[in-house]
Amino acid sequence: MNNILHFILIIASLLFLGFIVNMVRSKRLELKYALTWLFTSCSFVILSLFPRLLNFISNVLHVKEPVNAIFLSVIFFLLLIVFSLTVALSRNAKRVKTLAQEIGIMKLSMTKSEKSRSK
Amino acid sequence: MRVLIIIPAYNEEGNLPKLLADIKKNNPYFDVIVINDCSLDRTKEVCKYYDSDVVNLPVNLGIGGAVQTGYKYAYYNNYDIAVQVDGDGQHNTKYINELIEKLDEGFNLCIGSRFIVNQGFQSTATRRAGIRFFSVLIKMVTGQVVSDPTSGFRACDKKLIEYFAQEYPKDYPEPETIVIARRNNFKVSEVPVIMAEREDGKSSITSFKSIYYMIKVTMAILIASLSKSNGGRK
Repeated sequence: MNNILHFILIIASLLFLGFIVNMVRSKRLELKYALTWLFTSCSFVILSLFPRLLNFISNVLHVKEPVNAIFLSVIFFLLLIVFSLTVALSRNAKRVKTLAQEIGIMKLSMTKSEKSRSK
Repeated sequence: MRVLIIIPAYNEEGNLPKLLADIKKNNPYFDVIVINDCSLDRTKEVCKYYDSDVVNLPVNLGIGGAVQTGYKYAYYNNYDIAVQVDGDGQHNTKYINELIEKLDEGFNLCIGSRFIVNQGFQSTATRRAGIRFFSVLIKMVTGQVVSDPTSGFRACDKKLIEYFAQEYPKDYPEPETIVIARRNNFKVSEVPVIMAEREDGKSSITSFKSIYYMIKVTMAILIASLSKSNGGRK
């Protein structure tokens, strides 16, 4: 790999990691959901620092081209992230539903008790 | 015995006055709760005008979420029986007593079916074919014979109210709830009713959505039949 490209990749992956950490630090990203992102960005940093690892991985996986091993691992991480988002979304949808139901019932009992008081 | 009539309503200002008047005439001793699923029309004002109890949901939850709100209300207020009646005026409230009588025989869920005596509004041939398909599917996975699984005209006893208050499918819930009820060893039955065509407004299932509906409900039935019976866990 070209030295300049290597350098750019290292900088980019470090910036990416720093960005994620900063987002978590400033509470704009909840750590719970940021874990997959942290994991992903850390592996980017490691891979850019030791590109030989990639050759090793592609050997282990019997992938001919190391670049295909990159694609494979990136797609794997993306699937992981999207799936964790779908799980979080489903859970939140259920919570929002319950909250809306309880609020609706509560509003009714409030108007009812107001009515009986004013009588 | 305290009975609650649950009316899920989304944009039903045109149908609710007659329905509420019918209930007052046919079932004067039952309590009524309208679940206004964040309607865009004057459903809320209509309920107020007719002095009916109404839960105004702050966001639109869809039919399943709205009906479940009714079951939660029934559960919190300790009702013995909850009867679900669609807000579109298709269901004749004079049959409510027959649904309740069936529960007295020991059933937990009783569904009003328009395909036992085959009178009144029978829906289009394609819809009947779809309904027939769900009947066969439910028979296959639960062994339960239900002639009108999509009917939203049904009565539940106290045990099932408690279960539905905790677990209820989100959209297109009718066929799925039958499977869920059977999976949890609740007893399901049907009584013949005569339904009318909806008087005002449109059905929630348009031709455009019907394919999605068929796929979604089929999947829901299959998955519900795989789900473990959890005996009403929180």
